[in-house]
Amino acid sequence: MTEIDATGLTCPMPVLRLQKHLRDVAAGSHIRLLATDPMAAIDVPHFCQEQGHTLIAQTTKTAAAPGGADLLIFEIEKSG
Amino acid sequence: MSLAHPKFAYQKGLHQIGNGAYAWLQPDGGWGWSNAGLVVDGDQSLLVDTLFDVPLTQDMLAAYRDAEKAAEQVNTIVNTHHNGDHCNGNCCCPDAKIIAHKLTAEHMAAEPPELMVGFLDAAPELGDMGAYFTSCFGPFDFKSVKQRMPDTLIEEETTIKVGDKDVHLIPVGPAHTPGDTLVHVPSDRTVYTGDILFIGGHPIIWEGPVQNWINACDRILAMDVETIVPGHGPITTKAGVEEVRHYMVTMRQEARARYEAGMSYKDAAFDIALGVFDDWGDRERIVVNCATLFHEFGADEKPDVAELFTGMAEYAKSRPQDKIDPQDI
Repeated sequence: MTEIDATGLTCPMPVLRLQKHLRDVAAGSHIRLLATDPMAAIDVPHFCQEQGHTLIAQTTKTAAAPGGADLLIFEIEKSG
Repeated sequence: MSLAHPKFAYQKGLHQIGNGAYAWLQPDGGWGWSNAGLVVDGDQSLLVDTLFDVPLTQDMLAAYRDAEKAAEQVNTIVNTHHNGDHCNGNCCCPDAKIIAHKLTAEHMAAEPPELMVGFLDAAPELGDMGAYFTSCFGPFDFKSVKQRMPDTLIEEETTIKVGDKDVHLIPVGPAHTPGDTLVHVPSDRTVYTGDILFIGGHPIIWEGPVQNWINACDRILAMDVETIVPGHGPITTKAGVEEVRHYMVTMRQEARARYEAGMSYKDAAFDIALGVFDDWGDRERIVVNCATLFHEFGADEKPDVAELFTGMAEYAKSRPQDKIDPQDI
């Protein structure tokens, strides 16, 4: 699984970075996206729903990011 | 009524319009805080304008690269006009072709970034005018700029390709500046207007005639577009274009009455009640607007930049304005 580190970036950059990466991988590929902007919790699921990708898991690790921010972890499967 | 497009928040940074079109916004849109754009198709990319200095432009380019592989190597830049907040960052893309109107290139050459460095260095000795100038342009790093000139000049409507997309370059000046050019992307139903549109701030009429500006607004209103990216302020709709048009018609009428009554341009600027435009930012620009309009009406001399900034400093000092909250535009 490839990992995209979008920690420290504000929305919409995490989604845009994810979108760019998804263009380059095969359908069915799994991607883990790391983010710290709380808005990503809304933007990433919304993006997946709109584009037909599957959001397999979404977890939050409290204060796990550098600087003590909450770390949001998304696992996404690219649609066919 | 809000003039911001309901789909886009007025927040600093990158905004995805869709279909490979983006806008980069810099609230609050006041002096130097300009917008720019990115258009991609396939592996090709085009920038609409760069920013006022190198650090600002590099941040923008990093976000563009993050969003689009095609932006990793920028093919083309279009400068909508010659003001430095739309072209100083050209040097950040040393390999890109740069397209602009011939008059844009001429005025860029006449107003290099070193002029701003010189003005800012001299500002502490220039009293209220110097303080005002520094408040407008002090936040920017002009020493980092190495001016990079356009290498492809246009003089009439021109269509270029970005991948398979048509991009129309439409000269509409002289209005804000001599070389004003709209960048219309029909397939994205988007137009980047440069400083033909200031949304939430007073437009500044450096050049005129104002009729050209009104015609430019009409040209945009006639386009089949959904997304309108102004040179300053939030992404807007045709309602924003109508407001700028209304501003131009109103200011011409108000200034004309005072010109015919024998007032000076500066007295006229202080005398005009701004009415519905009073809460737009940078309202001291009415001093420049009256000077340009008076010249258009037949006044012999057009004041130089130092006199205009002195007049604006005086206006801003006598009528202090609260900082505009970008969310209120």
